[in-house]
Order: sequence, then structure tokens, then C-alpha cells
Amino acid sequence: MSEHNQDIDKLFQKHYASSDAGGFTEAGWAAFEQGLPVSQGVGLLGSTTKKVVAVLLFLILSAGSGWHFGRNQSAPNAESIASQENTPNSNVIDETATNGLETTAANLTADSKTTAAQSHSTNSVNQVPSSDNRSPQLPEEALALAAVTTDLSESANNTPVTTSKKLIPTSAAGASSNSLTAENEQSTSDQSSADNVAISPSKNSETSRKKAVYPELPTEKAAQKTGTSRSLRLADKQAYLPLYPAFATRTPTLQTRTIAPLRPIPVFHFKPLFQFHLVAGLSVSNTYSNTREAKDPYSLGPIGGLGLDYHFAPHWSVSAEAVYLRRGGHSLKQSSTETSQYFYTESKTTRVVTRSLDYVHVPLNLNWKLGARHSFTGGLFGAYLVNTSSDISELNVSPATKSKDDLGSSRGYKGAVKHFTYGATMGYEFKIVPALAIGARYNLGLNDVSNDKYVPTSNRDKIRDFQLFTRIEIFSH
Amino acid sequence: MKYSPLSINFTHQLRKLTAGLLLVTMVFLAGCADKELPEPTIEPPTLFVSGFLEGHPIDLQVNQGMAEAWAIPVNYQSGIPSWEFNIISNDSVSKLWGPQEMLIVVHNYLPSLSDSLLGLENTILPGTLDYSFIEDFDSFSTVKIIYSDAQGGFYFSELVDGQGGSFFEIQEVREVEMNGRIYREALISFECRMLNVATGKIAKLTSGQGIVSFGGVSSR
Repeated sequence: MSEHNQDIDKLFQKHYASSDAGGFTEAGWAAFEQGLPVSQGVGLLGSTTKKVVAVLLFLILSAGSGWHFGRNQSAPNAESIASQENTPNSNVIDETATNGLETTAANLTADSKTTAAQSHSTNSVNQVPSSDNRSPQLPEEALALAAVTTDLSESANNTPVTTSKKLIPTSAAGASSNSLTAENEQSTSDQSSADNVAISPSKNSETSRKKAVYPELPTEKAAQKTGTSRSLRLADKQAYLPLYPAFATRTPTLQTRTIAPLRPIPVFHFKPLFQFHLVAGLSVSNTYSNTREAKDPYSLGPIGGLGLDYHFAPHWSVSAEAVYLRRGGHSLKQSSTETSQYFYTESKTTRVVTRSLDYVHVPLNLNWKLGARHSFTGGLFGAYLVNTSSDISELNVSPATKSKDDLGSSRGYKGAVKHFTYGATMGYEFKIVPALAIGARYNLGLNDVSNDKYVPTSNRDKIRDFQLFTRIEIFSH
Repeated sequence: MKYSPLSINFTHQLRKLTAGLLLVTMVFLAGCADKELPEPTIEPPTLFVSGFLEGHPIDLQVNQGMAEAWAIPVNYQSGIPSWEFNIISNDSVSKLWGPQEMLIVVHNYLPSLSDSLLGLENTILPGTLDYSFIEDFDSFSTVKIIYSDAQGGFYFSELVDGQGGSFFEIQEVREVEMNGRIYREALISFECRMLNVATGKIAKLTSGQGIVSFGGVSSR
């Protein structure tokens, strides 16, 4: 059995022995209760060590509370007064709150706790109502500065809002705590004569009126500092309802916290992109010949086409193009002889000399972008011969005549060269503006273009051309 | 990131672009019809005459400019409508003495003077022709052969009386139109005796055969 229980047993035995042992009486029980040591009834503070800890904790809390209020209050020496009653009408208001015309229930509750703790530590248990006259006399410090109310009727009429402050004993606070009722409001407003502090309506009368009619809940910051909830207790709310109908439609018990939408962080997100572009420019290419005619070593021809880019990475893309390309300056001869031998031999020789070759190049390139303006390309191309331009002549031989006729130019004789060739390509592009770029490209064929049927082996050659072009992006997706 | 101000409606732009590309491609391909030069032609001789004259071969054929042939439409030789086929060698050696040449003449003794083409159809027919020269127009037709060799020999079949054992047969006939004229091409086989006018000797032409052509009349 613990020491505490042993003491209780001894007390019981003592009182039982001193009484007349006639049984239980109310007077006897009350006397018994008066004789109980205060500290014996609390288990947590039963030992001496725990007492010391409790005192230290109290001091720390008191210091912390003072520090908090010191930050919030414009008057550092102001003290809060709490009523000893835990009734719904408990309405001791902090002076700081009255300065801002914010009679907050949170501060009210916090201050009540603080004062209750002080009372508990100094005057033992004091939870009985004051009307019982059993509460011990409070020391002089327990007199508090009570902040009293706002004249609602006057504030509603945009009259100057007044606050009054006066020293009242805590025992009288219970009576004054009913100041929110109509009667007390009237009495309070009547008493506000000497030390009333007037707030000028010219500053913000509208705000003052609204705040007077609809007192707001304590701010989130204040609630955190005081450790209280922003929401009024249900009992408090019910007590306020007659005067503040707005509480009937607001003040949810569960407070929601509005979080401001996050401002988008400017992070670069790459999105694959298709782009169409046009290509136009000039090509300098080598020439082919299988005749004795003098030919130019290089020729100049136009190029033009359409392409598609697919940007699959921030600096990488693949592209495909269909580019029309004319290569001129060639001298590729084909000939054929027809003979007629019915009555006599008659021959007709057709001679075709191809001068220009029209290709469709389809390069497939891998592009690497260096910075915002420079791009390097490389890949393969396939070239298909779609048309040619040739000079046509006929040589007619018969026993009586021999003649040569020039028939002008004609297109479509593609027998002198192979129809399909392929090769490698590489190039560079410089972006002038976002949709316009210039570039250069070199194409090197990997197979012979000459057709073995018409062109001697010694004249075999491969595609070699250098292109300068302008690239225009037409749209993207 | 869209650079171009034209990138308003991707789908709309893509449809327009596709339609334009198809149109351009069709026009482009329509103008790109592939043309090929004709292959060099070397045809076998169409017209020829071959045989042996006293053991010496005769080979005249229109081939690579070595010989030429002519068809004379209507030759009123001696007042008789005739169809002639003449084949001449262009060999330079033979030209020292004169061209090697053979002439085949077919007479029509029942000509239709008003319709030369009808006379051709009635004359050049599969059958056998007679070498005899007929004065009285009793026969329907006859044939004569004139030959000149490379050494200057000149031979006539019509100057030999009694062509016993000789024949001239038209085995097949087909009609050919060239340059607006109608020819009848005949596959012939013949043998005959010929008189050399320079020496007065008769030479025998054997194993004669060939493809000859008569006519040259205007088409209908």
C-alpha cells in the first residue's frame, strides 16, 4: 500500500474515532473534506520530486506565455484576467483584443487556462462556482484589467465605437461576464464615461461596424501561438447566437485551411515535336560524259523540296526530305539503228545525248543541335532518277541518200544512267530566325550511276554534289 | 514550341499539304514517262534469189546494203503488160564487169488495162508459168529470166527454144503494202536453160529459189 493510501486510512481512522460513530452525516463529510490535504488528491504530483517538476513546468509555461503575449501585445504589462467559472458566458477579454476590436474566444480560453493554473497552484482546488462563496479570497494581483464590450447599437449606427476598461475584482467578474447580454451592454455603455477610449469613425468606420457586428475568429497565427482552436466551442456559440446571428450560418466546427495554389515552377519539359519545312537552294554537282564532246567539270542546278523533322530529344532530331534536284552539264550518248531490207537496205540511227538528270533525293538525317542556332546533320540518301533532258538526232542512210536530222530536245530517255543510286550525306545549318535557316550539305554517292549498257566502264562515276539551301519551317505539331 | 505563325491548325494544314503533294506528284510523274531507244535491228533478208548456173552459185539477197531490189509495177514490154522483179548486187568486185543482176519478168496476156491492181491479182498467183514466148496470146501468161554474172556473162532464158524439163512455180503468195503501194510477194522455185549471148552457149540454171516481189501499184 502506498504512502498516500496509508495517510488516507489514518485520516479515516482518526475522524471515525473522533466522531460519534453515529453514521454518515453531511456536516461530518464536509469537515472531512476540509481536512483533506490538497496535494494528496493528485496522483501525478504526489511525490516531492514531482512537485518540483510541476513548479518548474509551471514557471516555464508562465514564462513562455508571457513571451508570447509580449510579442502580440502592444502593452507588455497588460495582464489577462480569467473568470473562475467554466460557464458558457465566461467572457473575460484581453485588453489586446479590445485594442483591435477583436474579442476572441481563443484568447479568452487561453487566459482562462492561465489564470486557472495560477489559482490552482496557489489556492488549491477552486472549481466550485463563485456563487457558493467557497472560493478563497484572491490576492490583490488577481484583480485584473477587464476589457469590456462594444456598444453594438452605436456601432451599428456608425457611432463612435467605445471601449471601457476598469478594474474589477474577479469575484465580480462573474457578474460582469454577463456584459454581453443586453442589460450589461447597456450598463457598460452607460458606465463608459471617464476612461473611455474613443476610436474615430473617420478612420475606418465601415470596418469597425462590420467587425463590431460580426466578430471574427482569431487568426491562424494567433491560434497557433495560444495553442487554442480557432473554432468556438458549441456552448459558446449557442450563447452568442442571440447577439450574433451570423454564427448560425458560419463558423464550421471543422476548420479548413486554404492552401494557395502553387505557382508553376519554370521547369523545362521537353515535348516531342513534328515540324514540316521547305527547302530551296542550289546544287553544284559533277558531270558525266561518254562522248568526245567537251563538258564542264561541274554544273549548277536548282533544288527544292519538302521535309519532316521529328524532335525526339532536346538536342536531337531525325529528318526525312523529298528534294527535287537537277544535275546538268552531262554528255551521255545512246544510239540505236533501225534497218529496212525489203527492196534495199535502209538504216535509221537515232542518237540521244542526255544533258541533264532530274533526281528526287530522299535523305534520312540525324540532326544534332548545338545551342540555339547551329545544327549538324548526317545520314544516308537515296536518289531516284525521275526524268532526263536529252538532245535527239536521226541519221538516215539509204543507197540513194544519206542525211542527218536534228530533232531538238526530248525528255524521258533514262537509259544512260541507273535509275536508283544511294550515298551518304552530311551538312550544317545555321538558324537565322526561329523559322528560317540556311545550310550546306555534301552528298557522296556510293555506287556508279553509269549504265553499263551505254556508258563505257572508264567513264563510270558517282554522285558528288554540294548544296546550299534555305530552310523554312512551315508548321509544327 | 511552335515557331511559325502558320502553325494554326495542324490538321487543316496537313490536309492541304497532302493534297498539294499528291497533285504535284501526279503532274510530275505524268511528265516522267520513260522513253527507251529501240533496240538495234538486224533482220534476215526478205528478198533473195539463189541457184546454180553451170555449177556456179548465184546468191543475191537484200542484206546490209549488198544488194537492192526493185519492183516495176507495169511494164508494157512489147505491148504486153508485165510485172518485173530486179535484184542487183552492190558488190564492188562485181562492178568491175558490171553488177550481178537477175531480172524476172511475168507477162500478163489477158490484162485488165483499166485496173492494174486487178491485173496483179490475176497474174501473180500460186501455180506454174511457162517460159515460152507466145506471140499469139494463146496462153494466159509466161515468164522470162535474165541474168548477168560478175564476169560480164549475159544470159537470156527467152532465147532458148524448147525448155523441156524447165519449170517456174509460184508456191506461196502474200500481199505486202509499203509506202502506199501494193506488192505481191511470192515464194518461187525454178529451173531453166539460158543462152549466153556473148558465147552462144546454153547454160543450165538449176536449184533456183527465192522470194521475189511484184507489183508496186497504188493501193485502193
